[in-house]
Amino acid sequence: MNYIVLIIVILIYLSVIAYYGYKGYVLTKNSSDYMLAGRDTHPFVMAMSYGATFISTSAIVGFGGVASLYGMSLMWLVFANIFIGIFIAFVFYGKRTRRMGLNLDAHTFPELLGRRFDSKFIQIFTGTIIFIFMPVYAAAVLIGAARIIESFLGVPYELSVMVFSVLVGAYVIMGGLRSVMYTDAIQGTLMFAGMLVLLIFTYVKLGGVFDAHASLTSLSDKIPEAIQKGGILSWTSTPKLGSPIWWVIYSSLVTGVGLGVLSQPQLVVRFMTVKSNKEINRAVAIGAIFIFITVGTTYLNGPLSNVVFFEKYGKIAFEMADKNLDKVIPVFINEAMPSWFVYLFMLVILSAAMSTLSSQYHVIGTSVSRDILEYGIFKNRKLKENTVVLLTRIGILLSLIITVMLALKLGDGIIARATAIFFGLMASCFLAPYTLLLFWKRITRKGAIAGIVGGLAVSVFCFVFLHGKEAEIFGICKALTGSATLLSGMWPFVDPIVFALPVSLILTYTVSLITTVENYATVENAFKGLK
Amino acid sequence: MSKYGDLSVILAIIFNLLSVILCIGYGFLNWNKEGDISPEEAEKEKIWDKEEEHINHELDNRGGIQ
Repeated sequence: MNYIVLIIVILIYLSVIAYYGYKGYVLTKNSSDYMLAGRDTHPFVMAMSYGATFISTSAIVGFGGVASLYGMSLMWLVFANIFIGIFIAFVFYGKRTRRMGLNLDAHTFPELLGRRFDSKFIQIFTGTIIFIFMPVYAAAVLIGAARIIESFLGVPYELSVMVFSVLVGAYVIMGGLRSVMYTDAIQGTLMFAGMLVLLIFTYVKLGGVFDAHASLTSLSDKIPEAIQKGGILSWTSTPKLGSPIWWVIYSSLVTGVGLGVLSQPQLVVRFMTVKSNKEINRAVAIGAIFIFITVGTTYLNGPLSNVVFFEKYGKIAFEMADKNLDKVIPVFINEAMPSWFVYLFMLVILSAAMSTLSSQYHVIGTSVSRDILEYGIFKNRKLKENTVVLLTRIGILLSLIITVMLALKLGDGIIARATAIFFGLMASCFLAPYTLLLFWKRITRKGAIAGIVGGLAVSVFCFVFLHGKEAEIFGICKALTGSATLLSGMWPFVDPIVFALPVSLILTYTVSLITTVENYATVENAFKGLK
Repeated sequence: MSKYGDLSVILAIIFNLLSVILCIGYGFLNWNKEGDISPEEAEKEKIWDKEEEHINHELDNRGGIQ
């Protein structure tokens, strides 16, 4: 690999991103521009921004690595990403969110919830949850990018984390959501092209789709013993029903990430950036093709990397990556792909990380400025437009610092897990109240609060006492009871969302039924133009 | 299980293709549909767009808020 060429390619890429970041900065006139890109985003930009924000290095590097070990049953997550993450999200949630957001003049996801119920508490509490937990997900994305930079350019991991974060932070702080969405569209297009090339190249290298899958099936005896005991008997089959890995795949990844996408604050806000449903309709088609190629390639390529590695080195991917799943994809690109592709893939990864990270910084920043400060700490003061934008910029800077610190602290193989935790947590807290507030006039403020607080409480309880991986890290259960988790058998592998989401739904619904709607006028206003 | 994968994995791939077709079909069939906006609202939005353009132009002249 020629480092000079690679550096020139990266510099050209960064110049294009800087240009579009500057364009967003110039077009930003007020806080609505800064937070919602002026509500007049083009459908292609909206679809690519949604897709590029949704699909990060967590998906490509983290989940790609996981797929290399767990096999092709992760293709169910691709289905969930397209059917739930695009079709259901855009057609059923997106249109109503756009309309309701406009009716209530909401600029952020917490503000949508808060204004729908006339509740400052809901807005501030939601903003605080985002502010506390989203940096964990942002750190996972940052780790993915830094690992690739470390692997391809030989730049020390710590330096990669800091430089990359500052680069992204710079254009988010300057241009707000306009800059974020313009750059997302460019980055999404690059991701699409790069992943399509990767998919075609891998299959061509392995003799076509059928030969590739047959070769992968024939490697079943090479699956590590611990993984076989966990339930994976072949990389082209689903794990044994009810086995630990079956629960990890279907409860954490397919359900947690698949359903969690519906209530992701950084994605929900994109529906509020378009002018009408026409843009959302068009974005459905564009978004589905984008997700199919980017995510589909990741989850097919992960398992197939075993065949490529085995044919070339006699080792499976897990061994090639020194048993660190976060390194499988970087090693695969470096070792198995032609050098020209390394340049392209470098841009794919930079794009995937920058597009998601910029949106995360933006959402955390607006949560701090709009939801926590403007409606909480400074609630009695009427803040000027300039002050709100300044507070958002400070919030973004704060989120950048926290994310960098977390990225430097978190250990190996954390990317996919941290992403699944965040997606699951957002669904557990917000999916039930968010769904009901869009479709049901009878939902009450108390019902929504019960659902959000209940979902959060059950999730935290599960992380501390039930779910093996997190309970082990916290160590509280061990200290109190002497065992790592309260329940044994399959339960330490069942994701908290399996308990927390139903609890949140039941609480939201039943508390709403036994209480009365507090704000009829607001409800009527929220549903204006909605059937 | 066939040598290409078990039924579950093959079904997942088929469902992926079907869901993409569904989304493309939906997108093209509704390409120009505004949805919940009534003709009066659409007219109002057009007027507002012009006003907004004028405001943006004025703000440009003043140097914006950056």
